[in-house]
Amino acid sequence: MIEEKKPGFSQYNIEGKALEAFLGPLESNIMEAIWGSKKTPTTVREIHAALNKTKKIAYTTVMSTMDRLFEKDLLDRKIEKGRGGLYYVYWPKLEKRNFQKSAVRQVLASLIGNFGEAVTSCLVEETNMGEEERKALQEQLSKIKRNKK
Amino acid sequence: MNFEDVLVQVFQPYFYYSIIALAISFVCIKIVVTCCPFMGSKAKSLIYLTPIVAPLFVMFSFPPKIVIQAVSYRLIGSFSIPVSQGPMSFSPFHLIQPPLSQTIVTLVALSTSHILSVTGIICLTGLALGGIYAVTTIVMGDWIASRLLHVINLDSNEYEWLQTEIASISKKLSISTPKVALVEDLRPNAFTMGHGRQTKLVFTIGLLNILDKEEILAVASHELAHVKNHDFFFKTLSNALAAVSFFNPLAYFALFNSQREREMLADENGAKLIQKPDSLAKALTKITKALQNLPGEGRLIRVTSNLLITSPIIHRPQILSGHPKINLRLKNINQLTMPKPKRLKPSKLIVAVMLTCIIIVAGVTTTYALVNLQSGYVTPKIALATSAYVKGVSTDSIGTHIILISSNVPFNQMFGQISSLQNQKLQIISPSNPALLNEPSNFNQNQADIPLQTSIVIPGTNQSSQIAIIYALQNENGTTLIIKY
Repeated sequence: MIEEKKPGFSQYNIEGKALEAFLGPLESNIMEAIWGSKKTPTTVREIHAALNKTKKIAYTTVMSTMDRLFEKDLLDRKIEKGRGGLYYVYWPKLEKRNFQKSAVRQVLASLIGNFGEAVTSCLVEETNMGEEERKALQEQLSKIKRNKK
Repeated sequence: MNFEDVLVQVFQPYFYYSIIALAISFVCIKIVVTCCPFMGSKAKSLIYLTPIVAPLFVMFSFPPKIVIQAVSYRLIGSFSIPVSQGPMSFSPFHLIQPPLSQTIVTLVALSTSHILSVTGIICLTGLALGGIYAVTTIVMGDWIASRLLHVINLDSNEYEWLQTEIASISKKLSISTPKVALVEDLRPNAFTMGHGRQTKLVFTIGLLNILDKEEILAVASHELAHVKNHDFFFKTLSNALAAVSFFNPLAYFALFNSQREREMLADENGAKLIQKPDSLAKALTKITKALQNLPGEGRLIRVTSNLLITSPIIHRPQILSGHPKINLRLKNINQLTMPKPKRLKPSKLIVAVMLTCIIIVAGVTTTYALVNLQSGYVTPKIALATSAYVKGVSTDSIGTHIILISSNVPFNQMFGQISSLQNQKLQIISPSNPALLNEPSNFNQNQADIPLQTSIVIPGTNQSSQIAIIYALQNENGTTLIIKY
């Protein structure tokens, strides 16, 4: 089981669909390909071949994007010796579900930290909560804030 | 297989002439190259091919055979014939001249049989290997190498600057622009694959990561020099020729010497092309340093790069490497700016000519000695202290009979000595069993006063394919009577 870590992204794209809200289109395609790959860890060449099935893409573009994902702490890598020589093999630092959870948590924490009360009322309005549930959420949020301070 | 069989196998002309031709030409060429420093890398690389071409000519002159006639000699015995007994008859064969004085007659059984020629099969395997390798490499070498090394072709928009520069250098060299490709390998290296329009310049990711643009360009120009020099065909041809003599270690020395010179030539041409010898020297130094800190390539890569790839920019240092040592390459590159010695010193020329002559004479003498060894290694040297005549020889249903006449020595005493020398196949029929004697019909009956007579029989030599032939060789040691069956 991969333990939960903070994924490295700094922007949230409000118009992006699914992972593209947190990552660029190619980055999210690569992450999807890596999570969907039967073979882990995987090489740039294999991901390039997988992506090329749907859309033609340059090898060097995939290589540099995977390098960037490694720098963002979304991927981990090591050098492996194989028949093609010495090459990097990559694997995700988080499972897809954990990544999503962790990303949402980061966004929420940022929103609460900046807009506290507004976030609570928005959540209440959006989810039609009862009085008891609202109080519990309020307490939870206050706790998060205290911890943050 | 006994020692005799091994010698029969080894002394097949296609085998040992090819080994000797390769050895002599290799040593001679090494001397010539050492004594001629003015000789360019191109000339050296071509001249180094001579030793590996020589065995091919030998094999065309003496085609290898799968089945050979093996001849084995067996000493039967030796007799001294005293003068006093006078001329005698060897009817019905009349092959031995009557002895003029006391003559030693040596009986040698010479049997021939057809056996599988191991050396012939080795030589034919070499020819087949060379042919198959050359055809495979030319037809599908680049395809195999691409699959094995996972070569990734670059799109026109990837490493655009590099592709533009390569196109420009290619135009300068009047060659068609090769495709550019990558290999994921983190070890820095570059090589060319294929030929003609299928030529590819392949760079490893490791090389692109550690070199700057100018150095990458220097490496590219080195590889383009290989393309211009048609090194794909040169390497394929030289490897194929070496494969013909795959059993001879000297073939590999000649091959790698030749390929090293080709590398030197590509270094020279490449450095001249970009007019910056320093960049190539820096690139080579960086690559060498980087490789020292990385694990070596796998066996598959090594074999592939040796057989299918033309000239990786660098190889790990090893004795049998197609690449010269880095310090020699750097020295060669640095010398590009210096004038080369144009004249050969007369003393060096004399030394070269003399040494070459000595080597050739030594080689020819060795060959001659070996040929003599082949035919004479079983020449009987033992003479029995008995007196006997060879009265006649005949064949019948039992085998070949050699009829002996002795005037004064009891046969049991003589055969005691003969038995100790003979092969197990021989049977000695004593005079007490005269029924088995098969005297030739026209045997000279005039010598009726001969007191003792006996016969040696070589059984199983009366088959139609094993016709017994008797012939005699006379030399200073006496007469050798050879019974061939």
